[in-house]
Amino acid sequence: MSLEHVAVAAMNGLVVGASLALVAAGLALLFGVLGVLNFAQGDFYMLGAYIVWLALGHGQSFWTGVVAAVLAVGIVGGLALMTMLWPLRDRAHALVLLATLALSLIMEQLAANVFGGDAKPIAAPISARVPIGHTDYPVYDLIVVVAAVVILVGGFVFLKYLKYGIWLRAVAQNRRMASVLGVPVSRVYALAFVLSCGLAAVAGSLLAPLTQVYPTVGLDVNLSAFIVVIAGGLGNFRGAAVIALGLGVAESLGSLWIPGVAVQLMVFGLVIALLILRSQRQRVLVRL
Amino acid sequence: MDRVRARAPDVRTLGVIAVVLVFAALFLGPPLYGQYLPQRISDYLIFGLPALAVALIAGHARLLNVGIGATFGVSAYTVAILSHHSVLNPVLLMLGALGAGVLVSILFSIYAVVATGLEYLLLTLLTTAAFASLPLLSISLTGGENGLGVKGAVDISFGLDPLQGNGFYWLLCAVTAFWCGLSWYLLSSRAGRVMVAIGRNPVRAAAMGYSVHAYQVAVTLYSGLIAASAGWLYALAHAFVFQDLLGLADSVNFVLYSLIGGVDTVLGPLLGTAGLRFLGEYLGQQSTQSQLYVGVALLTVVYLLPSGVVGGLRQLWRLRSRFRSASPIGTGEPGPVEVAGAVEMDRLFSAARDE
Repeated sequence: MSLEHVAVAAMNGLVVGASLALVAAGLALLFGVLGVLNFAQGDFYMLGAYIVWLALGHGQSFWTGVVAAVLAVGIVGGLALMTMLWPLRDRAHALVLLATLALSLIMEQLAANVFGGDAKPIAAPISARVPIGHTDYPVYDLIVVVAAVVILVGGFVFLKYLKYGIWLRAVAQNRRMASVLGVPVSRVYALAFVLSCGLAAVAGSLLAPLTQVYPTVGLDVNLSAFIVVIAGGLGNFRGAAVIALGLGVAESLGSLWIPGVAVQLMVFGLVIALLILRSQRQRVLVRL
Repeated sequence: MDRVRARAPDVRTLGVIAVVLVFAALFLGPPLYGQYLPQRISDYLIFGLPALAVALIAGHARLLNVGIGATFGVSAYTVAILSHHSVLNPVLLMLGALGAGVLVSILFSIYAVVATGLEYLLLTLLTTAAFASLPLLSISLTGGENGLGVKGAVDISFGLDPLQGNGFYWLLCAVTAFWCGLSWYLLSSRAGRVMVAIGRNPVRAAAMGYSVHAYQVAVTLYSGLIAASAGWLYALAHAFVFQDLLGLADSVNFVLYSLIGGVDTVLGPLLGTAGLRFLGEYLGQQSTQSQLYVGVALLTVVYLLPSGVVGGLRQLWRLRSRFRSASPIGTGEPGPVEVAGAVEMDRLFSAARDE
């Protein structure tokens, strides 16, 4: 096993982790603010990818497609999702899970109807490569990592220092109290939905050249994103991002020495243990 | 008041007679229409049993288990693996499948003790996702992605051929009737009443001195047995097991069947399974849009029948009875719990908030 193999595996892991972080961050944001576990998050990812494909088909640049995807999926998709889930806001999680699952089924079928079931390749906008030892590594993959880091750091700054970010956190902690203190709760909800869907669209559009586009592309991403959100701490934006990057690298590097399935099982075991530990700690805190 | 009291046993007796008639029709009716109908209904019954297991855990332990597919799949795989190791005795295979299912259920019962609400759901979700990877870990034992055939032909199913005659169909009906009958009996017993109370409000049940965790563990293990028996029957009926049986898709389907039928009922999950599977199959034959229609059907249930079809019908019946028996003393006024119509599913996950 040469150092070059390890470096390439680490780079691959970073790319996977960065893409996971983008999808998981949207999930974590929505869960943190609204307690909504969105099964359709992967489908907004899929929509983002299709919009880039459409933009390229209409002679637009890749980057125009990315912007269009974020705006269309973020604003239209986010507000549509909010309209759909608003009547369920004070109801059980089970109903919300079912509703988003139904939305996911509908979106996948509609995507298959409109775009067809075949996988559509999308060329990366930058074809340059950098040499890592004897391997030429695509520059675009590195750009994906950088873009993810910039977006996630931006998200962190937004949540920490900007007015709407602070309002988002306030609503996440105590909706009634935030409302009493003058926070426009419905506007904050709308923002959370728009940002969450927008993040999924960013991920889908940026990763389209790496994964191709097909109606169920989001399904493959969704489970991993769920794992990341759970491991990072439900509703924890920063935790999800860090875990996603760590998980991507660990899985990629681990696969060099042990079978991929074994690595996957170890990850599942680790996340289950983490969740049990966290659950116990929360119980202790409640008791105190 | 007296009028209501006098009428109640009649409704109960009528209900029992109706259920007996339904099962009698199930035993005798489909075989009259050849081989196709019993085989279709066999599938509904096999997939309905894990849905019943989910409903029992959700309705009476107040936990939503998204991992019943793991119990179902492990039991089916156990039959296939044992048959490949020359264990062809049907009783041994059945016991092996049930034992394997109970082992998985022990894991879920540990989760029931250490977690509640959403955390329990996520733990079961991760567990079933992990179990779905297991066949790839030992391909020589499980067949990996190619799946594994079940050896032994009709010898392993007590000489009953799933494809010929009605014997195997009647075995399935008998197993289903057994689990439904036992579930009704248990739920109407004193322990069952406690489980119903835990399903309604675990904090109140705990305050009354009942060990909520002990009952949750018991329900989880009992439900595991039901799901395991379905896995055993699946392996016998299809003579082939594959990776997807253990996966998330089946587990989510079982949850959907139970939620659509009604988690607080015994027959609801079976009817939900039959309805949703029939809808998927029928629409799949008519057009390529079955997924779209299933999605729309799900949304309809979420917004219009949040306590499931059977749960909704039961609430309508109660509402009707109360309005009909409304008297000047005011006993007939429907309580908000029943009228709201969203109680059954709304109860799920609220455990964490209550506790």
